Amino acid sequence: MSWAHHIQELLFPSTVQGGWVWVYIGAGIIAGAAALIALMSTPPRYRKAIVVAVTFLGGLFFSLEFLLPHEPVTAFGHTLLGKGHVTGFAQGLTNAKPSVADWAMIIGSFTLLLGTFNLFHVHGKAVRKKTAGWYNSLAFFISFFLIMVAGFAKDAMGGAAKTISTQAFAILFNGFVQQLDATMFSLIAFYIVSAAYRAFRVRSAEAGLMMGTAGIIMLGLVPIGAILTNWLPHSGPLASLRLENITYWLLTWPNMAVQRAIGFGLAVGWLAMSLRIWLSLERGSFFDRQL
Amino acid sequence: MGGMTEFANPATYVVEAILVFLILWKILSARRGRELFIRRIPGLSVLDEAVGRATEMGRPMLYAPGMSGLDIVGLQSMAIMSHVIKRAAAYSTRVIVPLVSPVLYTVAEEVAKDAYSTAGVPEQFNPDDIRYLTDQQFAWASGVVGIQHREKIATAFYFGAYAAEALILAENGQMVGAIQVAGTPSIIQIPFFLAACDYVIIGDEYYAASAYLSREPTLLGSLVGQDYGKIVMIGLVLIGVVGVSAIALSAHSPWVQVHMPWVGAFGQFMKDHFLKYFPGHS
Amino acid sequence: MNALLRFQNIDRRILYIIVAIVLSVPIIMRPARHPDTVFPEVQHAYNTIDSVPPGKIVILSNLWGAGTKAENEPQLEALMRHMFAKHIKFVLLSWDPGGSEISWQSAERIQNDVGAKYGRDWVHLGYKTGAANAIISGFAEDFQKVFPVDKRGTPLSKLPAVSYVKNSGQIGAVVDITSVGMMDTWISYLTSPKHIPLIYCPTAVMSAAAYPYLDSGQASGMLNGAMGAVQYETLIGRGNVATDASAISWALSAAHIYIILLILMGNLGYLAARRAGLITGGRRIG
Repeated sequence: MSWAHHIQELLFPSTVQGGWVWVYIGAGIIAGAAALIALMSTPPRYRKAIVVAVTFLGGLFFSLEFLLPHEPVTAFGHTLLGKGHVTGFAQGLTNAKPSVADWAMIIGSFTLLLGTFNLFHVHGKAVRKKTAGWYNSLAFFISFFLIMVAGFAKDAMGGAAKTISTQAFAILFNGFVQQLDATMFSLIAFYIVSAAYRAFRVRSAEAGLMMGTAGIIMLGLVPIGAILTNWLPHSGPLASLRLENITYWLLTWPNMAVQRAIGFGLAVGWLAMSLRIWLSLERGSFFDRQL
Repeated sequence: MGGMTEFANPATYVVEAILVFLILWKILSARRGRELFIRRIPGLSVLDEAVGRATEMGRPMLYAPGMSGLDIVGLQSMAIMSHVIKRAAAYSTRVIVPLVSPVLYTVAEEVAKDAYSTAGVPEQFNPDDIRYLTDQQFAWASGVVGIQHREKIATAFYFGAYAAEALILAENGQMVGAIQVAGTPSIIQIPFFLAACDYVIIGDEYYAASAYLSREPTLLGSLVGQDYGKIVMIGLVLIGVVGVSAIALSAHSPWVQVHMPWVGAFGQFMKDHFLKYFPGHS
Repeated sequence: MNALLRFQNIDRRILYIIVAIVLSVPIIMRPARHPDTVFPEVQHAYNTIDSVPPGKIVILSNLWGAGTKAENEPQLEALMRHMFAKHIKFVLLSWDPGGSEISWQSAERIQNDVGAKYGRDWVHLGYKTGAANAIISGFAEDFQKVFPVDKRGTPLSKLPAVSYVKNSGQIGAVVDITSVGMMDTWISYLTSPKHIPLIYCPTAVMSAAAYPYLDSGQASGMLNGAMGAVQYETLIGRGNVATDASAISWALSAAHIYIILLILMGNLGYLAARRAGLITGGRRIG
C-alpha cells in the first residue's frame, strides 16, 4: 500500500472497533473545536474569504461529480480525453458519494438537536418567567418527555415495562399525535368550501371558462363523474364526451403545457439563485453583513 | 426514458454553459453600472400600502416563510423579509415571524436584527417576534393560526415553500380581516392563495422579488440573465418541436414521404444530433 | 330576487356543518363499490410494479405524516398488497418521523393479513434526516454503507429481503409516496441517471404538476391521491372490498357536488346583486 493509501486509511477508516471508536470521536471533537477557534481568531477581513472558499468547495463536489467525464471522450474520430487522472478523479468523487450521504445524515441529525434545543430554550423561558400562556409551554415539556420515555422504553425494555410503554406509546402517538395532525389537515376541507364559495365569482369570460373547467375536472376525477356520463359509449367519437375522458385531456394537454412552462421558469430561477449563492454573489443584508 | 445519462452529456454542457454564461454576464454588466429594466410586479408594489394599513390600525404584521428550510427558497424568503422589516421599521410596526426550521430561525434572527439596524432603529428588534414554533407542518400551522387570531394581525405576508397549510393560514387571515400578500414557488398552492389572498406573485416572480424590492444591480442582472435563459429554453423547445414534427410527418404522412423526402432526412439528423439527449427519444 | 341575494352571504358555519355531514355519511357507510374507470397513469403504475424483475427490490419512499394519512396510506397499502401478492421484496424508508411509525404499522397490518414475514419479504429502514439528494445519490452507489441497519437496528446483511442489495443495480423501481414533493430529487439523483422507473404517489392536489414528468417518461406512473389508490385496488382484485379508499372516493364525490352547487349558488347571488346595481365590479381591499 502506498503512503497516500495509509494516510487515507488512517483518516477515513472503513471500519473502527473497540476503543478506537472513542479515539476517533475525541479526535473529531478536538479537530472541530480547533477549526472553530481558528475561524474565530481569524481577522474579520479574512473571514468572509474563508466562508466564500468553503462555500465554493462545498458546492464543487456535486458539480464536478456530474460534469467531469467518467469515460474517455471521443469526437470526430479523435480521443479528446483518455482514461487517466481526470476520469479517475471523477470516479473517485462518485465513490465518495456514500460517505457524503453519511455526513448529510449526521448534519441533519444535528439540526434535530438544534430544533429541540430551541424549543427547550423558548418554552423554558416561558415557564421560568411565567409569561402569558406559560402552562402551554409546561404542556410541551410534559408531552415531550412522556412520548420520549414511552418511545424508548417500548424498544429497549422487556416484560411488563415493555407492555406498559407500548400501550402508552400507542395512546400518545396513535391517539394524540396522529389524530391532532389529521384534525389540522381536515380543517382544509372546511376552508376550501368557504374559500371556493367566497372567491369563485364569474366576473369575466375567462373566469367563466376557468370555472367550467374546474367543474369538469372536479367531477371527472371522482366516481360520480363517471356515472353521470356512463350512458355514453366507451369508444367512438362520443366517447370523448365522457367526463373522465374530458378530464384526462384537460390534465394531459393544457394543464401539462402550463405546468411545464412554469416549471422551466422556476428551474432557471433556481439555477440563478444557486449560482449566486455558490459563487457568493448573493446580495442582501444577511450576505453583506460583517462576519 | 432514453437520452438521460448518469453524468453530463454534450447537450448538458452546452445548455448549462449558455445559461450560466448569460446569468453571469448580466450580473457583471449590471455591476458595471448598466441600467436594467424590470416590469412592475403588483404583488410586491403593494408592500407600502400593506405596511401602511397595519400602521394605521395599530396592529402587527405577520411574515410567514412557510415550510422553507435553509435552502434557495428559504434564503429568498429571508431576502424579502428583510425588505418587509425595513419598511415596517420606518413606521414602528411589529413584524412577527414564525418559523418551522431551527436552522432558518438562526438566519431569520440575524436578518431581522440587521434589517432593524439598517433602518436606523436597532432598539425595535424584539427577539420574541422571531419565533421557532416546531418543525411539524400542521403543528406550525396551528401555531401561526393562533398568532393570527391572538395578535389580530392587520397584514400577512406568506413567502416561502408552502404545502397544505397554505389554505389554513390564508383563510384564517381572511377571518381576522388581514390584507394578505403571498408568493411561493410551490405551484400547486398558488390556486389556494389566489382564492384567499389579496395579492399573489406567481412562479418565477418569487425569485424576482428580491431584485424587484432592492433594485440591487447583482440581483437585477441575474434576473435579466434568467429571462435570457428562458428565451434559450423556448428556442430549444421550438427546435425540438420542429425535429419531432419532422420525424412524425415523415413516418405517418405518405404525401410528405413522396413529395418532401428531405423532411425525413432532416428528422433523422435532428434525432441523431439533438433529440437523443432528451427524455423519450433514445 | 332577495332570496338570490342571500345566496351570496351564507353564514360559513352553515357551510361547515353541511360539509361535515356530506363527508361523514359515505365514510361511515363505507361503500364497497370501486370506480370502473382506471386512469392510464394508474394502469402504468400497476404495470411497472408488475414487471419488476425477480431479484430486484422496490423502494417505497414515504414523506407524509398523519395529516395526509387519508390519501397516502391507502396508496401505500394498495402497493404493498400488490407486491406481497407478487412476492416482490420491498424496502420502506421514511423522511418524516411520524410517517415512519405509521408506515411501519400499516406494513405490519398488511403483513399479518397476507401471511408475509418481516425481513424475508420486506424491510423498514426507519426515519432518515438530512440532505435527501446526498443520501439518495449515496445509496445509489453503496446501499448498505448508507443504510447499514434497519429501523430496529438489525444489520441489512442479516435480512434476506435486502442482504444482496449493493447499489442501484438491484433496485427495480422507486415509489415516492409524498405530501410535500420529492419527485425532482428522485429523478435528478437516482431514477433518471440510473434508468430506474419512478412511480409518483402524491396527494391529489399535487398531481396536476406531475403530468410533464409522466409525458417525458421521467415518471412511469402515478396514483393521484385517494382516487389513484382506489383505482389501484380495482386492478389488484379488491374492487368489491369496502376499504378506506373506496369510502373516501364516495365522500369526495359528494363533497365535489356540494362545492359545485355552492359555487353556482354564490354566482347566482352575485349575478342578482350586479343586476340590482349593488356591485360594480372589482375586489375591494379592507
